[in-house]
Amino acid sequence: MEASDRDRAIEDSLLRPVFQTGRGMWITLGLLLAVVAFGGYQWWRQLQVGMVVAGMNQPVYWGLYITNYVFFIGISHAGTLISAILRLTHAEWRRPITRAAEAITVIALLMGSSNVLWHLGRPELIYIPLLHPQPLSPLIWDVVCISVYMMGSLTYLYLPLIPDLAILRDRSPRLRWFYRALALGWQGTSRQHALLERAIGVMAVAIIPIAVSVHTVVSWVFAMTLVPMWHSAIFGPYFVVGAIYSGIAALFIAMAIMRKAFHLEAFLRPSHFNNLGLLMLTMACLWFYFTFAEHMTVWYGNEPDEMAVLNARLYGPFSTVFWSMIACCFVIPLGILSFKRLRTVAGTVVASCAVIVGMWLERFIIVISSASYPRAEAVWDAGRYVPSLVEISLTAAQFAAFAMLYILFAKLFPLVSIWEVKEGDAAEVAIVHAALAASPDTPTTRIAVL
Amino acid sequence: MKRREFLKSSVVAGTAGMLLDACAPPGSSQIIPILIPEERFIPGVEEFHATTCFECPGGCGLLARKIDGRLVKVEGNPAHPISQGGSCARGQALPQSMYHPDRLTSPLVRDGARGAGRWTEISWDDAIERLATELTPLRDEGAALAFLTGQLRGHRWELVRRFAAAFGGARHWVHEPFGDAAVRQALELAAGRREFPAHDVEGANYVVTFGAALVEASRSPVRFGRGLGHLRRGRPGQRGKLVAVGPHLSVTAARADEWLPARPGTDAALALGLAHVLIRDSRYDQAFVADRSEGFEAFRDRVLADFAPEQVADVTGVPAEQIERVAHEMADYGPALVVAGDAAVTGPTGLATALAVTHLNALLGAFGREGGIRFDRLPPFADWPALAEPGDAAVATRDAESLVHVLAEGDAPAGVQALLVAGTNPVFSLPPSAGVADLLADIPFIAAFGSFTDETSRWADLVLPESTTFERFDDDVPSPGVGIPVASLSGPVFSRSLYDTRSMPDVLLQVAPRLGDDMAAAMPWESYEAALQAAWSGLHDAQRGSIVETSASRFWRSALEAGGWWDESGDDAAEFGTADGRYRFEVGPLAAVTAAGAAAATSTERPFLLHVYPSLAFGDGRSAHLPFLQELADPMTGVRWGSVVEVSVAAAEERGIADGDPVAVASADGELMARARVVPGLRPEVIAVAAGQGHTDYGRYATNRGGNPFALLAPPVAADGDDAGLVGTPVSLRKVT
Amino acid sequence: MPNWGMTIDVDRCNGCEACVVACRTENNVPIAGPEQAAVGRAIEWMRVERHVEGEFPNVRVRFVPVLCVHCDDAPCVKVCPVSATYETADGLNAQIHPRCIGTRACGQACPYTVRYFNWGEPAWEAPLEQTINPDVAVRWKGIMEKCTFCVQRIRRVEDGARDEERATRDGEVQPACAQACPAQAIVFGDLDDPQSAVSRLAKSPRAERPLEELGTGPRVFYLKEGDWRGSVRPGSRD
Ligand SMILES: Nc1nc2c(c(=O)[nH]1)N[C@H]1C(S)=C(S)[C@@H](COP(=O)(O)OP(=O)(O)OC[C@H]3O[C@@H](n4cnc5c(=O)[nH]c(N)nc54)[C@H](O)[C@@H]3O)O[C@H]1N2
Ligand SMILES: Nc1nc2c(c(=O)[nH]1)N[C@H]1C(S)=C(S)[C@@H](COP(=O)(O)OP(=O)(O)OC[C@H]3O[C@@H](n4cnc5c(=O)[nH]c(N)nc54)[C@H](O)[C@@H]3O)O[C@H]1N2
Ligand code: SF4
Ligand code: SF4
Ligand code: SF4
Ligand code: SF4
Ligand code: SF4
Ligand SMILES: [Mo]
Repeated sequence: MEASDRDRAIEDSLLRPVFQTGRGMWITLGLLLAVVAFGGYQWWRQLQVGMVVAGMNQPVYWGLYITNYVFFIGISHAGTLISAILRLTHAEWRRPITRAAEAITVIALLMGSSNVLWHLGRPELIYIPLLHPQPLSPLIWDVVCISVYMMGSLTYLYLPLIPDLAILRDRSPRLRWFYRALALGWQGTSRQHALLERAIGVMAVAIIPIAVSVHTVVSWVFAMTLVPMWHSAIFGPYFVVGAIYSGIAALFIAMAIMRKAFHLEAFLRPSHFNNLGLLMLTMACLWFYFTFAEHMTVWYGNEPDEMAVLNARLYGPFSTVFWSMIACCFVIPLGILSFKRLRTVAGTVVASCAVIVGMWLERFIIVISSASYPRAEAVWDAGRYVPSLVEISLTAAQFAAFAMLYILFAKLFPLVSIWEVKEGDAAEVAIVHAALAASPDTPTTRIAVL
Repeated sequence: MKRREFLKSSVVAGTAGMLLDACAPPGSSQIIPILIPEERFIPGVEEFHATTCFECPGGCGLLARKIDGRLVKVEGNPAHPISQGGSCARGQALPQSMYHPDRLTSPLVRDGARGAGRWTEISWDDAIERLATELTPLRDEGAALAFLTGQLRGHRWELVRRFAAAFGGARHWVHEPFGDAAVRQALELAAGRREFPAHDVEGANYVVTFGAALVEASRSPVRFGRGLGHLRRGRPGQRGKLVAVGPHLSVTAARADEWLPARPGTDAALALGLAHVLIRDSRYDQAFVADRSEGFEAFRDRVLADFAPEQVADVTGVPAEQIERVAHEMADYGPALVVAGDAAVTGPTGLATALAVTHLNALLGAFGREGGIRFDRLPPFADWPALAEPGDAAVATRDAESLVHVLAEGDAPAGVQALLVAGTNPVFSLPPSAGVADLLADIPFIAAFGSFTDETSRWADLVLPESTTFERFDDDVPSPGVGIPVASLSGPVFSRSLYDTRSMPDVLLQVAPRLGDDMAAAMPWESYEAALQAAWSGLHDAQRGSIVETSASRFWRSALEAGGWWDESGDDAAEFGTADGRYRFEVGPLAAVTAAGAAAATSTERPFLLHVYPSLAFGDGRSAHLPFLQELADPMTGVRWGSVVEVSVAAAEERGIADGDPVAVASADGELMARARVVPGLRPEVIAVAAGQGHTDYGRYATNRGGNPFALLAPPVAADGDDAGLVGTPVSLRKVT
Repeated sequence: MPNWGMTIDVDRCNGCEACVVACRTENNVPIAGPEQAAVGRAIEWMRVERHVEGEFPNVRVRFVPVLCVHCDDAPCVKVCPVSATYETADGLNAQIHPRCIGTRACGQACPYTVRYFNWGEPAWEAPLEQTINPDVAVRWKGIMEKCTFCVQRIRRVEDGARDEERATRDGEVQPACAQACPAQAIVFGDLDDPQSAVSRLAKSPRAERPLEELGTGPRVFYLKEGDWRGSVRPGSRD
């Protein structure tokens, strides 16, 4: 097969999902839209009557909205951070997954930061921190870091998209004006390629500290206070590790779905799942290490205010959630990922689902259990936090919106980077040819599949 | 003696000036003579008007803060001897009573069946007309009119009794759920004085309270609250001690240095046990007993024979050593002072408790001494002109009858054709089994005064809306006082009432002339203000005390500005009102008290004893309509907007009841459901419920909220004294699943 | 410039809660109503906490009136993204209500949990709104609020003193809670004036500051409860 034919085949198969939409897709979108709409309605109710319809109270001033905020911003680390690391380490198998990962980042960031809208008592004044920031507030640091991260992630998503946008500009049956505008006159000249590679390289380096800073600063919103079991020096790295961990899990799930839905079995091979599974196993151990260190120091220190929170987690009202979190974030993934035999597509997906659930529970526990047991013991019983319909609907709406936006992205842009896969293919063909030259008997079946 | 010193401790002069400065910064505000019309005031500039709080018997002097014609706040009047600048939660919530959304705005006449709560608004002219037409024939027919009132304050009491006397054949029934008739009775027996005396808590060093919830209820929370603060920390280097007796850890008991959780109904035995130790060890005031008392021997013999600490320990559940120690401490660390009140002085043992406590005070030499008990001298009011032609002179002099007594005797309605209700709500504060509803049903015409409809006025034919404290003239002689003559006075803070309301005395004065020339002559004043002014002219004539003026009208104006009149300079008033001026160690009512006899009887079916106590926020329930007080978390149980059933830790463990579990408490006469509050400060055999909630008709904030423990009480028995027993009703406790 | 502060004598306090209602009426603190109060949304700038020790029959209770302690280094001030809560030169931790965007970060950060959020729109059922104190702004839904040390009274007294070209006098400023307290448990004044009642009480051996170890520098001092010792000890400082 000639190289150009192979390229054409790659293009065709990766563009198919963009050009063709099945009925199932529309139904899925419809259902998701319904969930989002219901969440929107509930938010409208909250805007009308105030936070009374949410479950928060004194002392639990922060509830599900902040939980979701931290969770989704954690998820956002899927992407950019991982793909940046893989790019920088020239991991060849990254080629089909970087874009999917980067898309997760942007959408999760959007989801995470939108929580501010329904968390604020007066969302209509959301611009005030921009006009009159109080620079000592960790919330302002959050605003800065997340804005930069958002910008960076968008750029980082966009740059590698440009060559594919050019393909779309040339081949798309619709929206050509849109792709033309976005493609910025890409012709695929070698000068353009060199420039693009350089830009991507710079971004890949730059995005890593930004991503680390984002989740560190998110953790500082908690750690900078004196609240028991928030005021912790390791919260920064702990949150970053948790973020990457949940990000990988999200990526796994996205990969598995794409693989199935877009028939990408050839691009996303079991070996990728195995490799990434090993990375996730490492993160599981790291996560456990941090969790253990965090709780061990509290337990050993035995400071009464901190112990109140710890006891609530270990044996008290939060124990079910706490031990479920341990199961989901550590026991289940460890049990699956430790065995090569189980580091299959299905195995890693199961582990990832557990991690996603577990990491959400972790955010919930961190936010709610500390908030429930402040130093002022007298207010402990003032009211127990039970998430209300509004908060649950908005949480569901965010997950639905996440899926919806992801699908829409896949409908507009190829979820697998065409030009990078082609590039990888060319390299592989070169290797194969070299191998063939050395040993004419070597089969070329894998390439023929394309 | 040193009247001034009584007040000195509370730094009236210094603090008063200071506080007044604080609420009235120079140039911006002043205490205003009440008669200056609103249009003279500058918008946005605050004014303070002296007024009086009538929410509880304290009679605190307050300053009402008014801005732009609105009443926005009250403060304690720093110059007033009772409040001395302080106030309580109920006093602080008072402005809400004026602007309450459910206030009655005009007279109402019943529309539909009695008790249905359907009303038609009518004018005051029609209402007065209706009253006159209902009451006039009674006089001709010789049928009876009855007044049903609370412990009316100040000259309201005199006015009602004068009306009743002039009317002829009228009866006067009184009902106060947390009455202290027994205390008055005990004092009359022993000391020949009827009024609640002043307790010099500031001057004392050791205070024992038998049931009196000094801080949160009692008769004068602000005055006692200040006194207790002073007792503990008012004198550098000297910290007094407070001991509380009672089965339930009240707010007062919680702040006591020692709590003696005597079994319900055994307070008298405990008091006599303490007396036993004092007498046995000759640690009592022998000079007082020898020089100023009589009948000691009989008392001594009784106490020594029957109330040894070991015996008393058995019945009260308080260890003998503790009784011995507390008695010795009283003697050693005096001046000591004993107070009785609230639940402890109600029911079958109420009089005995009150009398035993009175005798304990006598043994401690507390009468007349600093840090002891003083009888207030009454302010020298001028008498109203004698009734020219007394309709029934006996009514004016005869004691009012206790409603509980009347109900227990069962002869209540005989001949009573019309009833005027004011300042009491017995349908709420007595159990249904007491038969108040039957009594009301048998009376053909009922008119009820009040600013709100309540459970009792619901049964009326005519409801007459009363002006609030801030819209009317009223006076009061705070009792207990502080050992000097004090009269509180309040006039309207506004030139007009907020709604078409009138004060009860004014209505009586308006209807009197319609009932005949003799009534017109008996009630000659055109307004209650005029009647008060006439009485207060006596204080002007005395030419002493806090206000000395050159004319009666100037005196009146100044008294209204100051919120009353008091006289710190007087000499000692006569102490005992007995014939020979000696204290009597009366033992008759103590006969029922035995150290061996069990407390109230319980059964296996109803193994607990119910303890009903006045709530800090609502008193007996009359402040339950104010949202600020509903929202106030009870200091002991933390409950807001509802009721809890207090269960001891031991009983909760035994019954498998956890804090917050829904429970039902049932007596032979009723049932109450609420959440359980498991508390350490309660005797195991006692279930405690605060009074005040469980209204069925008292404005939107109080109606159908929590449970009414009064409904569980056993119906009063004639022999049990004048107040319904609030302790010792046998009840069962059940977890509701 | 005064350094406003307060002492609360826990041994004087009777737990009568006059201070709670006084603060409510003075500062237009709205009622939450039964449903909201039941789920921990009652607002009371001053609350009386109950600390129970011991078992029947040896139960000891302390009542502790709790309000914003106006920290010198206030955790709430640090976290507010918009300076809606800030420290004044004379030591008050003040609120600019219109500026608050309702992040509730300050509520979470305050170690004393004395900041209260308006979860819903405050309501005074007509004509109860007539009792609103015009000196104090009514807060609306979505806004954080808390004890202001009755700043309106402080400024009024300062204004009067300025007119008379003098400094404010000790005891001249009375917050509503202190004014109402019958037990005279609450004393307010200038902590930097060595002659003031509050500064002298703050130096009492009984005085301690809540959660002092956190370094927040509270301006409210609690005078510890004492025990009855039987004997009289004239001249002792506590
Ligand atoms: N409804 C009703 N209205 C009335 C009356 C009534 O009985 N009923 N009475 C009426 C009568 S008779 C009168 S006289 C008026 C009184 O009415 P006003 O004349 O307004 O009397 P005050 O309220 O005493 O105000 C006097 C002012 O003078 C200030 N002042 C005091 N001493 C001095 C001084 O040495 N120099 C200066 N420059 N200022 C000083 C005081 O601080 C105060 O601000 O009210 C009339 N209005
Ligand atoms: N505490 C205090 N004392 C004050 C003042 C103050 O502000 N506070 N103000 C001072 C001043 S400025 C004044 S002018 C005086 C006023 O002092 P007073 O002259 O005593 O004035 P009023 O208090 O208005 O009382 C006047 C009396 O006249 C009656 N009256 C009303 N109309 C008539 C009428 O047509 N004929 C007759 N015969 N009687 C009538 C009223 O019912 C009332 O009893 O008070 C002085 N004293
Ligand atoms: S103690 Fe009684 S009279 Fe005094 S303010 Fe309180 S309720 Fe009113
Ligand atoms: S007590 Fe709380 S609200 Fe008050 S200043 Fe300190 S941190 Fe802020
Ligand atoms: S709730 Fe208001 S005052 Fe508090 S931190 Fe947020 S913006 Fe600042
Ligand atoms: S100082 Fe003022 S605002 Fe603060 S608790 Fe006291 S009354 Fe309320
Ligand atoms: S008013 Fe005074 S005595 Fe009453 S609770 Fe408040 S601080 Fe304590
Ligand atoms: Mo005058």
